[in-house]
Amino acid sequence: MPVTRTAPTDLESLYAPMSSTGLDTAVSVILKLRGETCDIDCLYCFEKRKESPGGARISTAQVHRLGSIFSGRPLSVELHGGEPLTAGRERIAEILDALAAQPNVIRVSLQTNGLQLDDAWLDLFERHYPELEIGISLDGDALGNSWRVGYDGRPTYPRVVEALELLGRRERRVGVICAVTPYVLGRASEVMEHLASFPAVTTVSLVPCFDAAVTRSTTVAGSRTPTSRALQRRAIGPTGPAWAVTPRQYADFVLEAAHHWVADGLFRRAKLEPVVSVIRRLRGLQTRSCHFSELKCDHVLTLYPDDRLGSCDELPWPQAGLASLGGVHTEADVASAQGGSRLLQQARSLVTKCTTCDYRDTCGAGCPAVRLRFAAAGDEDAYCDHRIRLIDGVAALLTQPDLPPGASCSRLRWRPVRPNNMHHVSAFLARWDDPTVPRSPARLQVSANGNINTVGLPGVHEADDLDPHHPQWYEGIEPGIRPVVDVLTSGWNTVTYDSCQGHAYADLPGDEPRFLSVGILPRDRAEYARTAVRLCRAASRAESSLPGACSLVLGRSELTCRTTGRIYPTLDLHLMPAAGTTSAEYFEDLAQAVHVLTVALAEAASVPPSSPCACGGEQ
Amino acid sequence: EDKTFDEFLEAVATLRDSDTVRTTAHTSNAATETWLTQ
Repeated sequence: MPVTRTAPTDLESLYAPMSSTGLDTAVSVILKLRGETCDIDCLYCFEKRKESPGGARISTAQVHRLGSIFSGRPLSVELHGGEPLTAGRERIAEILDALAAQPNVIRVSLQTNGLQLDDAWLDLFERHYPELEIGISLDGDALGNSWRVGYDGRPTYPRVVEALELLGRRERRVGVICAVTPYVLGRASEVMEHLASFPAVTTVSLVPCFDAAVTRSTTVAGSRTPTSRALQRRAIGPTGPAWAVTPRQYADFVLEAAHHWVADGLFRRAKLEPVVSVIRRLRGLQTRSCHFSELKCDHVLTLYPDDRLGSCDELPWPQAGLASLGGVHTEADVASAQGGSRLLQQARSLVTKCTTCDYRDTCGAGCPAVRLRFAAAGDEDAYCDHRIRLIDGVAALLTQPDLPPGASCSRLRWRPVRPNNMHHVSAFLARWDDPTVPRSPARLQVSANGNINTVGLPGVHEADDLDPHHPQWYEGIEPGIRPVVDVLTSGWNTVTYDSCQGHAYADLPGDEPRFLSVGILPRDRAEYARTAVRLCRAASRAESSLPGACSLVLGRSELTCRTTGRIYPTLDLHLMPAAGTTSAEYFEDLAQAVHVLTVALAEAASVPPSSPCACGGEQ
Repeated sequence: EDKTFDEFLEAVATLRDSDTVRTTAHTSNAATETWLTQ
């Protein structure tokens, strides 16, 4: 977990218990229609590793019972496996009819390997549940699909391609889940181009094989070992299975895929996850992905044919089991079982660590099931690091798309400033560069703590937007930050939209101190890139000379125009307390830190426009 | 490339919250709802 300077938030904003949400929030129910039973034998299958009995089929009676338990709650249902279509046409039709008859079921989706899909299946879906959403498992191209085999060890890829072509002819939209394994690493462009070439595919979800902890092959039921299990045994070595990737490898693959998704215009045809979820969170919007929202394991349930009702199927079983379906009568019974679950308590405990993380509002605490695995291996930092890398990488993509993946500045971190808005940004920018525009008198009031704003009070209050041509420009800038603003505006010719010299508020018990910051508003994309490099260069020069209690943080953020709603990318500079220092020590060192920073910024003013970052890109 | 990127940013700017009922999508479900304006 990174060093944090963020005030804590409450746990429920990152992990909501079912009892905290109501009619406006659905519970996701995964129906394991035939348990782990499947007509193929992928080497990396997580469901079969649970080694629970398969074979039986979920009944319509179980579906009706589930609906009555959650009668006051919307349900989003996923037909899952194993391979759900092995339940047979008659049973699937009955299940779809039962779901269609339940008024609280708002969405039904099917996750299939696609091998059985034919016109008859698609006709059945249209007759019994026309809105059924279809997800297909396909790991990119033929090479990427090497782990997806039948029991005879032969690849399933050619038959899945036939299914996707059929879906295209039938004008069905499907989502594809692409497992990220070593067979796709370094080939994001080919994989993305291939998946997007199917007209049916409108969503690509890249999911990681974080399976380093797998040490043995799945137990064989019966006396004869299928070829696929022999392949699986050979693939598992002393350091884990050959299909596993590290969090860092996964993050880099996603960012490489995101680069091609944008640069090649694939965004016009398909949604790319988890990239869209990150973009939505960067923009402060909600996302359906449980890895980025507070609707986590307490809002995801799994039902097996033998009546086992448990939490998300990504969690380890039998520990994830909550109750027998026949043993619960109301939603409150399920919530009570969740409250008593030792595994879910561990999951919540992990998320508690996120309440003070700088990235929590964007990251949303990730997947507790995966985090539990990393925590058990003593490697939870690797998980958090990859989330940060994803977020910083996508934030960089939104502002500097011409940088190849992996080349964005490692010092610039996503640091949203909220709220961060201005009355009319384009008018402010035009005024900044035009001394002839008439300027209204500014409302400048100074608080007892040195804040300059329109009301003369400590805290975050409105301040008039001034520019260097305004007669009250100097008067409107707090004196402690003036040298920094001077260099940025006169030396760098950049636009500053906000500045604060820092305020200890020692005489205001209960008020959090405010630390020094300056916000830069680049006029265009080229200036953004040039300013980012200069900031990195200045930080590189300043770091070794800064006094011990202060550290320099460079942030990417966004400024919203209240008049047009347009969002402008910004680069923000913060002097923060160094790890382990107190606020008093910080303010004691601040004047010296401002001097060091000002000198470094002045030296960086001469950096040629085409210079590379001082950090050499991401490390 | 610049034009493509401008188009992408314009598309991103149209993103809104409009779910009347919030739902959560489990990892293994590639939700197929359209993300964006053939």
